[in-house]
Amino acid sequence: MAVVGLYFIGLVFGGVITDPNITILYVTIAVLAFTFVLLTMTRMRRGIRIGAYTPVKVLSVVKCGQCSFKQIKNFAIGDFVFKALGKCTQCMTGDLTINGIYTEGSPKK
Amino acid sequence: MLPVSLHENDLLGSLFGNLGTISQLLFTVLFIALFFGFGQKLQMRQFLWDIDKGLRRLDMFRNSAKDLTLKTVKEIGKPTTDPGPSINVLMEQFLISPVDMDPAGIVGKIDHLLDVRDEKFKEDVRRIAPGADSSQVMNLENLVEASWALNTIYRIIRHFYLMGKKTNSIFIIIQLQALLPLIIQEAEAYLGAAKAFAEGQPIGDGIGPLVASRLMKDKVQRKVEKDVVVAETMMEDRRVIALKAEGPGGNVGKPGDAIKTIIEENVDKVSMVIMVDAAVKFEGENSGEVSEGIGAAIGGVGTERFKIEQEATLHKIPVYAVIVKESLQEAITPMKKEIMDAGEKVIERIKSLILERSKPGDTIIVAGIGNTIGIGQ
Repeated sequence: MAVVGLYFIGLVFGGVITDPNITILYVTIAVLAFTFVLLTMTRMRRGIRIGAYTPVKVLSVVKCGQCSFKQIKNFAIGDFVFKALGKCTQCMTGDLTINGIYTEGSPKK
Repeated sequence: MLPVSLHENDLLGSLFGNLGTISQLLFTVLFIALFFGFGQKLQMRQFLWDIDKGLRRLDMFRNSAKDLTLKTVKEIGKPTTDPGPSINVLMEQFLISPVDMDPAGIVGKIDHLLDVRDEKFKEDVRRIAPGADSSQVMNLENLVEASWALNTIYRIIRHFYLMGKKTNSIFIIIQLQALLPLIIQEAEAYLGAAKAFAEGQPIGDGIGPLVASRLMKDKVQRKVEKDVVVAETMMEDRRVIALKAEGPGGNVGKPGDAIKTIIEENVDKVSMVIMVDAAVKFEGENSGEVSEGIGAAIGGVGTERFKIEQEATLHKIPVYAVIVKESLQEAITPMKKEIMDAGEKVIERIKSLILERSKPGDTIIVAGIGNTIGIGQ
């Protein structure tokens, strides 16, 4: 289609055509051809974007059962919800547990 | 000089003028031949390029999942021999559905087949990864299943692509090209699921077990039926029996059998069953929105739903469903914050449902349905 577009542009600017109607027709064909090329290229790019895998960041929320201590840390292998992590370092009496594991997810494009 | 030049210009002008007319005619013929004769062929060629590109991406996903499975099995399972060939065998496994010409009793047949398949899959994974504990075996089983799904998607797409190419059928090609973006999205989600299973992270589908585990936390728990744990708690002066699949390994359990057992243990006492599950949202809806309805909220082949519906009908127990909306991709990839936060809203909905639809002293079953990977109790 790009070749078609270039060919018609060449005809228009080649100085051969004298009839203005033919010129308009050729310009229209060239514009249509270039639009088709452009749309095809953007569609191809979208196709590539769909397939690209984006790894996500997973976080673990650690909370104390007694005080207000809360910590958000990176997920580590072996973490699970309600896993006991020992005594709280802030109040020294409460038990620390993983209260939730989540991902913020990738931002919307 | 001037007349000669004029003469030359006339000659060139007439020559180019004729050339313009000839080329115009040629192009018109070419245009008609190209767009009316070969238009469909050209379009098909373009679609085939698109499918080929998508197929290569699916192959990449499949290989990534397989590599991840091998790596995880080697790390966790500490196998003494190369697990590659055994994993290849698992990736090609299939299940033959029972004959449905005479549908009476087909649920039992399917249930039996699924039990056998599940047991065999688990045994195979245990054999491949002897060093893994029971929870890790569950996660590895889920991981192998995600790889199996990606392998199956790739094989099916490749089959139709080659069929379309071989038969030159534009209808096969068009359908495949139209569906491919959705299939690639699903495959991408399976790859995300494989990563979550390899590391034991909770997935979006785990919102049901998460709610149940919050209800049963610090309560006396017991195991009923296959891989299902139960605990009793009090809520708004009602006796609540919460159940979920046993975690934190990747597991869905058999909640149908568990609900049946609990109802039989508490004959004429259970006043309602509330099921909490993740449900696929429509495009445009927000993830983490909570909705309630009537009926057994449970996915899968349908055998568990059948058991719950049958038992509820037998004892005239109403079944209510509280669902958390999420996309299919969100359901099988690591749990998003908005879905995790929906857990508190679900508990509030359960409370209001209990207040509205039961009396103090009643017994209520709350079932957290879904994969409990990364969620303990």
